[in-house]
Amino acid sequence: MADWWLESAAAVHRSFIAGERSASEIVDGVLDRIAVHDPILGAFLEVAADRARASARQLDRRRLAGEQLGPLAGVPVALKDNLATDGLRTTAGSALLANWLPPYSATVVRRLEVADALIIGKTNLDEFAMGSSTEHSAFQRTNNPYDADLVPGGSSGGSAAAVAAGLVPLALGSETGGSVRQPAAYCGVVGLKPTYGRVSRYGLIAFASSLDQVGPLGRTVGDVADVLRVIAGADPEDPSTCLEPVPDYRAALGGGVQGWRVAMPEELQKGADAKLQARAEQAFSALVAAGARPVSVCLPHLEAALATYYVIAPAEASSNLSRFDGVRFGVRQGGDRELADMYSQTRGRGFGPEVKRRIMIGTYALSAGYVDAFYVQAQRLRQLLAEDFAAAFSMADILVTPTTPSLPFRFGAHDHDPLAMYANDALTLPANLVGVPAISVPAGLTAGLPVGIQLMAPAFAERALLQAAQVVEDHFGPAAAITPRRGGGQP
Amino acid sequence: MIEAVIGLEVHIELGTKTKMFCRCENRFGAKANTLTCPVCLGLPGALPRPNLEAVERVVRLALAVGAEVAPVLEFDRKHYFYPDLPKGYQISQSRTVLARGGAIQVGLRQIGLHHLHLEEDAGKLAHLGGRASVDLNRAGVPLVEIVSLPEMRSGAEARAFLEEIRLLAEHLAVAEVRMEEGVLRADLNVSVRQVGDPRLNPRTEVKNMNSFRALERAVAYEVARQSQALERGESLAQETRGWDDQAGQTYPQRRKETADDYRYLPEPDLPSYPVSAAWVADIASCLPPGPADLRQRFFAHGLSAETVAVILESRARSQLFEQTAALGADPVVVGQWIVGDLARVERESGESLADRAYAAADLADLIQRVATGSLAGPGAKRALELSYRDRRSVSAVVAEEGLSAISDEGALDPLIDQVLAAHPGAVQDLLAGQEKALGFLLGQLMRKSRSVDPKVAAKRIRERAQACNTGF
Repeated sequence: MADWWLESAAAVHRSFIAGERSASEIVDGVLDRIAVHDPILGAFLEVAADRARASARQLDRRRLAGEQLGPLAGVPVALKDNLATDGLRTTAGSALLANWLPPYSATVVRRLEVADALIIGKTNLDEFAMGSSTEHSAFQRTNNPYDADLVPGGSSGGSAAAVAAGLVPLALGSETGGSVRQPAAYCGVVGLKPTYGRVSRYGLIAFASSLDQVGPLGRTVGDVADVLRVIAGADPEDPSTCLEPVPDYRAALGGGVQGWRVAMPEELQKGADAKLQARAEQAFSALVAAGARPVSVCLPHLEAALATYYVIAPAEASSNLSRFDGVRFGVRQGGDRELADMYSQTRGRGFGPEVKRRIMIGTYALSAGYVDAFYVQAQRLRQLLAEDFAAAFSMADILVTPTTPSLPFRFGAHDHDPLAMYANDALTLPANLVGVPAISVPAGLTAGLPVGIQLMAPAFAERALLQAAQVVEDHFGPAAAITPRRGGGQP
Repeated sequence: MIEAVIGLEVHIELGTKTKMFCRCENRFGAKANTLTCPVCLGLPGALPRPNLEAVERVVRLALAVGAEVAPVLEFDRKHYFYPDLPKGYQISQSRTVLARGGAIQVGLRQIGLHHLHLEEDAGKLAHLGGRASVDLNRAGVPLVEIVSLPEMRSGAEARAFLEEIRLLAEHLAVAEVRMEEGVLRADLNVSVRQVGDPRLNPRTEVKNMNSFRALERAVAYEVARQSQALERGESLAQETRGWDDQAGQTYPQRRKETADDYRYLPEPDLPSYPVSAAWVADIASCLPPGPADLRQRFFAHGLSAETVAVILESRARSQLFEQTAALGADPVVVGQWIVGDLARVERESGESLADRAYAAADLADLIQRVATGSLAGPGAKRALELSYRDRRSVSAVVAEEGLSAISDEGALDPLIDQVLAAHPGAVQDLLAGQEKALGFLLGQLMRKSRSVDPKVAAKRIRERAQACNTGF
């Protein structure tokens, strides 16, 4: 019982259902571990202790009363702080929203609550999910649990670090270009980006609407499968969700990949660290050893993906972030006399530099005279990429790549070179551009740091994706929770 | 000779139950900010969901004006910052609009339409004691924007065009156009040129005209102002002007330093929805008649232009007219009743025909009773009032209130004798051949009883007066 934090979410759930431990004990354990370790880690922006305890007491009563309990009953879950939570401060990592108490909850949050998960708190992120290191949070730094001098990745860095450090067994993150998979890889946990339209975005503070998707992080493929089953499915509040039925993802996990076709597209290895490429090849070999057949595919337009992404994502962001004007919510500044002054002070002081950079890029890309050259052209390239992937998936069932081009980097490494930071997403963002599901699975350590392997599958083929991910997990062994270490550079 | 070149962009708030992209009630006059939710407040994370009823209303309008409905429904974001615009962008349509083309007949001319599109309204600002407050009840209310070609040539024509659009909205159940609530607004574009010159001079845009009269006056003012400027040899600039209704003038609004750039973006929160031809055909198959058809039908019934105009004002009146006439009542008489007494009763009761259905059978019954003389003028008016107000049938009102015309002499004579006895002077005048006295005596008789049939009574007064005379 002392090492409960090493257990999977499924094991925690079973022990609660079996009456081995109460939800209150689970929550107290989680809160104690957060109190001890989060001051070093910095994963949580807010710990909702009272709310979690109250939910736990209620859950305990319901269990004792013999009520039917949800599939995540007793499982502590952390939420990336860009998911609206009724009555719980939701900041998106921005000073502009430092005081925002949403009057409603995101659909994914409501679904977790209906599944009887225990909401523990809100995790740190790059402001408005714009970044790959969580350094752009307006509030605090989140360390990599393996080495406090290194970033945890981003933008769901808080969620990934919290799961890796065993503060919670599960968390939700969000993706626009790899913001679940990249931090999952950097922190050595499993992170899934579902198909666009698989999971409701209602209540996810938008970064780039056509790319955004909520995704789970956990320490086992099975745990991630369980969360996906709870949060996936059509939502009348999000017209971009699809009616596709939601299968029991866990049930398929043991099925293996006998006879499947797997490929390692060359274009998605290029530029990656040799050690990471080697690890991806190991994963590929494991799939082949499990009966998959290697095939080759090519993605001729892939080199345009990064540029395409960095037109479309900022363009949509510049639009989505227009609502932060200080009128109805958030921190209003200036404007005692002039409306324009209120806008410029609220936005000028409220947004951090990375957010401003993307608003500027996006505004430019949409402005009259440039929209055809940038945004419209980028949409064309996106269509070509979609055709590339459609062709690739007619040849292969699963694609294998490293999740990231490199291992976790030091804080401040890209301060003066935002493009180098953007390049970090090169292997993950194609899945967002074409809308297909992708997962990062831990593949052991190299030089003491975690390595992530990315698997990709056709749209709505999450079941196959998770099934293949299980083979990779079986090969490398599931992620272990690690107690965060203080780094040399940590004050 | 100078001519005006006029185009209108007309906005109508659709009379849907709920807003365009959320399920908040679409209603005028509620307490500020009570008809709002995360979606129409533009809260972070909220997403739009389109209202099919709004789409259907615009499709009805499009079909009625002969516009071509697009095979897909797509939305775009139009960006600008203003405190009454919650998201910092308006969800509108620009790449693909819901319908293109079509025309509206105004008098003898066809005014072509450029397109019709669907969008959401903004909220409202109120300035109080140096502070601005915003009411977002109107934010997200569905709007149709009807963009005309620059084919109108006078203020009267522009006004008639706008009035015809009001009638279209009324008869196709697109909206209940209450002008005072700002349901119908028009942006006026006007320029002038020499007749025969195909080129266009720079135009003036006058925003947010919300009365027919103001529109006509604004055109007149602008045509005069622009013509005079041209005569003086000044060059005109494209500009946006405001309308000062008190002064009857337009005035320059602050010029922007740069051209508007709305940075249109395909709305990434909404997919592209197919608009099936079968669905459009369904709507077309049960399209109510438009004002032009009705007008033609009403004239064919022999109604006067004035009567037609009053009946056409309301869909409920038009329906009542056609249904009553279909029951065999004389259409001209039906028209007189609807335009005269019924319109008065609507006004006085504060309840229009649109608010409470009035059965054509009752109006037909009323007209039938008058025609056969079983109900006299004043009694008939009374019967209409009571049946309208109390929602009782005409036959019940007539029976219960004793409104049947008194036309048998046995019942009339005692009343006539009382009147004659009370006014011997008038009787003398009548016998001396002064016909005015008959009117006076008849009036006195009607004051005693509303249900007197005046024709029968006049004849009988004469007879009783003679009888009295011989009796002396």
